[in-house]
Amino acid sequence: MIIPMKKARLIILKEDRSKVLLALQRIGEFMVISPNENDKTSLAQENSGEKAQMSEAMLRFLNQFCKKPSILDPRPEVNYQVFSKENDKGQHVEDELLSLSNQLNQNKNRISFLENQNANLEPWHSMDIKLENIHETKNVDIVLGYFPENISDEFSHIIKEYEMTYKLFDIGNDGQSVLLLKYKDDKISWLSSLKSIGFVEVSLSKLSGTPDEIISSNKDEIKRIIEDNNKIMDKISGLNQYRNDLALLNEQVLAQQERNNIQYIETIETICLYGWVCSDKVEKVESAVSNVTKNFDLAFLDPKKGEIPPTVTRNNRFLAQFETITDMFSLPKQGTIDPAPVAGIWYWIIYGMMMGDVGYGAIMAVLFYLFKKIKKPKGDMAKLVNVLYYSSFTTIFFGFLFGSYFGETWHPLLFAPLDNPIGFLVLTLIIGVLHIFSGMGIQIAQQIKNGHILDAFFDQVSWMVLIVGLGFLFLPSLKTIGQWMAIGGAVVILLTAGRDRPNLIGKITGGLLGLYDISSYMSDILSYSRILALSLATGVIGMVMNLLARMVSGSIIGFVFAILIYILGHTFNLAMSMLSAFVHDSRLQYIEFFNKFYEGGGLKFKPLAFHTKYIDISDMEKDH
Amino acid sequence: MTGTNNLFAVGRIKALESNIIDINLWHRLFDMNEKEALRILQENHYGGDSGDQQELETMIDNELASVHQLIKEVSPQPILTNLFLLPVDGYNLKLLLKEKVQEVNVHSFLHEGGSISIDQMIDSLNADRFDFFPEPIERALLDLATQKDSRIISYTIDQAIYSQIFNILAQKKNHNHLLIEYFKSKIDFTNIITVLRGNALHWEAIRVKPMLLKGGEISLKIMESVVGAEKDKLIRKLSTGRYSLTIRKVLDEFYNDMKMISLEQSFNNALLSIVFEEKNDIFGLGPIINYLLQKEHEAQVLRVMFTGKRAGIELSISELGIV
Amino acid sequence: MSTGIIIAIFGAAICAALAGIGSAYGVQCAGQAAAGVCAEKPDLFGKLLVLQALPGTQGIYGFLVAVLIMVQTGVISGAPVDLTIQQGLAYLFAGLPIGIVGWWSGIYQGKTAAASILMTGKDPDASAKGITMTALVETYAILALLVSILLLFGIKI
Repeated sequence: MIIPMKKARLIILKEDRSKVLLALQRIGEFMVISPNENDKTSLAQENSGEKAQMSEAMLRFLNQFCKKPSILDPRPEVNYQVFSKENDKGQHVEDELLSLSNQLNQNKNRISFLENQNANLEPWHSMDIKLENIHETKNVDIVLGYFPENISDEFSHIIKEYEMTYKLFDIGNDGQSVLLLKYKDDKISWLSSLKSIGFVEVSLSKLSGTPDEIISSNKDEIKRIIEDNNKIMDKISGLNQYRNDLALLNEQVLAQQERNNIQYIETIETICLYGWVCSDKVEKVESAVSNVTKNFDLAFLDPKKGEIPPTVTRNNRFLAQFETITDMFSLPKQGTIDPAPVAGIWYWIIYGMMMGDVGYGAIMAVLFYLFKKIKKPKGDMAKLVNVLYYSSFTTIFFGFLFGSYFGETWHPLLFAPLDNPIGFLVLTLIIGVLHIFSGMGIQIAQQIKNGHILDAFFDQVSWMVLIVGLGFLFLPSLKTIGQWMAIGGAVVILLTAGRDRPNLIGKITGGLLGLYDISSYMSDILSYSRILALSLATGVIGMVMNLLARMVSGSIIGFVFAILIYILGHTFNLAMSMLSAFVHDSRLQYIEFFNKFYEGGGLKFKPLAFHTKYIDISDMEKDH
Repeated sequence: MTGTNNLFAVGRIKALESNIIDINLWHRLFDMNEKEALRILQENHYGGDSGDQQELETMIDNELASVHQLIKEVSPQPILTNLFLLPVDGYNLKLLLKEKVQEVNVHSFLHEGGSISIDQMIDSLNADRFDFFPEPIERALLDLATQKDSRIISYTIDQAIYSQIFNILAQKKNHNHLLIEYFKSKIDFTNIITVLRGNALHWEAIRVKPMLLKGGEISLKIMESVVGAEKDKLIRKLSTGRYSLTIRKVLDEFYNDMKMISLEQSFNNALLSIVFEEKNDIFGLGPIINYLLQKEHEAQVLRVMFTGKRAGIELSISELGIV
Repeated sequence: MSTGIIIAIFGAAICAALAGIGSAYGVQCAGQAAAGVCAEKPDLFGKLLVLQALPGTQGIYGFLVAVLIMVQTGVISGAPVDLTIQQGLAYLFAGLPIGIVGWWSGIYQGKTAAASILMTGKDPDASAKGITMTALVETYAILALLVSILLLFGIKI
């Protein structure tokens, strides 16, 4: 059922803004309409986005070092009182993690600096001079540097030419390291002639101690930093127990951000909010607002012409789950009929027929029940899981009818599809006719509601009579009645299908073309034979797995193989069958069923609410 | 078979297509000042995530480099996608040849991302080892050995680049209609622009004619016949071939406002739309090339837009070439 | 073994093989596209997997008919029935619909699935639409499967 919408106009004092928004967010029944481009304001602050990103980043940082909660762990819960309070602990954890991550980064940089320095000093480690002592004296220039190993001939030539003293050390990444001593004399000229053959000067004089000492002290420092890092990691894992506080902070900031992004019209003292509210939630919204403030004006208006309110459908708990199937296609528009109740029941039945196996049904029931209990899925996911959970019962039901137990046939209550495929085919076609008729029935109801009673008779009833008549032709006892029904239906269609056309010729061709639609009805009905095909596929493949397992199960090793084949084979079959049944059942709804009456095109109702990712908020009032 | 790897490539590209700046974002960027716009670009992860305060140029370079890297990585037919990198080579070659003539250092103006690496190009040029280049370019380089006129250098290289492109396309067994059409139209459009520019500057025919590129859909004869021609004759003669309607429309617009810049823009957009129409041909190169060209176009628009913002020049959205 | 049974076995082989080829190509095609999208958006894996699995059903249908032929002719239980050549040919022809249609529809469904995967890559909310579009191709494989099965049950031995 589609709930009518009211347009709410809420005027409050500026000082109450955050209280009221929080109250509205808590009940999650108020979808804010953004005012016109010109007169909107919002509290959007730049840093609330940043804050949300920060807590998110820290959660990720925590995940790098600590075990994430496993998929099977239930989601943590907090109650609303805690949620609405300042979360000092979470903030504290975030700050601490931030400083720890900064320390880690600093340490990382420091280590790479030290390692780099060591690599540079490595060639010099046998030089037993304190580096701070290497500087020019009154009479002597001292130069440290590297030259490429392959030019030692040229090098010694220059050394000789300028009468220098030198000492070679190790070969490093940059080449042969060398210490040069020369009486002060035209430093530029000898240095540049050295440089011309590839000599590179280095300066190590800023460091103190011998290279060896520096290297080993650097190594010590690296060791200390690594120990320090370990301590930091321990601290981080220690903070993992407060993960939920951090997650809570993240949720709070996100909720805050959503509130801040609300757009409204502002006067000096007050603000004015427009929003959509379900007509049966009017009191709830009113009491939520009056609970937090006395000074407000709340009016509920009917939607004006041209305004398209969003769609909310409400059905009983069972049928509501199947709304997700319709929603995947398209939401119903305000003022039309919600197809979910009818489509839901059919979906439920047809899914069962397509699977049709007691064993598979039982496994599905257990699996989805456990999933619901442990994961407590929310929103569309929950609905989907429920659809599959409920469908497991029809699967079991049809399994009994067809006598199928993990692909084995055992005392069918009705018949086994393999023994009587024609009977099953007829059954699926009858199901198809009923399914399509129920769609046409909805269309009749819509047309009568809009006052087009004749249209309903000409376009729907005539076809129903014709199709039933054609069906009766196959039954000897009803053959004559069927004949007349078919003719009667066809005549009505022939005479009326062209009634919108302006002239006689148009009306005649319109009638003929209308009758030609018989092909589309036939193909729609035949399409339901896929129920037979899928049901057979599920059953026969199950059977084949059993057969294969039995064939190998002669010896002990064979027995192990047989078990493997059972488990893997049936798991595979179950998964593929569930996927096929889901897809083809949806298709039957979308294409064969919906095209008889359904338009879709509704807008989604997106109320201001808590959209939590990691944490559930308990003690929320919900009946949605 | 090409259809298979192609899908992987198209898959990656489709997933990234939503990163191309769309019209809404363009409008937002357009309305903002330089600093805000930079921040918005960063928020949209333009130019990667590294660094907080980046220069626009580095961002664009990073983004383009990652696009080229992606194309190189996924391209199912590197030979064909490399054709789109050849113009960069042409640009680099021209600069380097001019450097030789005018003895200025142009290295900082060279563009990365061509099909030939810059270092190899410089080395081969310095060593006069022209056989390193594909045949048409080698011939052009030999011809240009003593050439000093930078205009001649420019169009000789252009011509060589296009000859090389069509050589490669002709070698491919399965004719790639999209690419042939694209490059042919590109030559046509470039020629039309050359002619119109020549006309506007009252150049003599003898000066314009050698600048026209061979290989377009519109024959050189027709092109040469409209050099110096009046508006009516020019439009009548040039509105031929597959894109006659587009050409007519663009020329009409041009004679209305006589803006060279919007002429170039319109032809560029026409080229983009040739590829854009193929962007859903998921078993062909269309989506990949479309992505490459859109990203390059995006970079170009960003450069112009930000230069405009800095200089305080008001450019309209359509003048920037945003469609 | 009679010539008839050999022809029947050929029938079983051909419907499993052709439909299998179709599905293999289809799933591979969809898989390429899915891998591409996944490389950029790993969190779409679940949605993409469903789309990739869709063209796989043809192979299952072909396998199913092959097994049914084997069951009916007693090949699987190790006691092959003595079929006449006519009966053997009947089994061969009964297998052809799902073999041939499964082959081609598997390929085409794979291409549709690939396109839907790319659409999902661009707009993750569109995956339900993509699934429906892809499933439409399968209709013809299902019809062929039905024809094959009905033919099989019509053969008298």
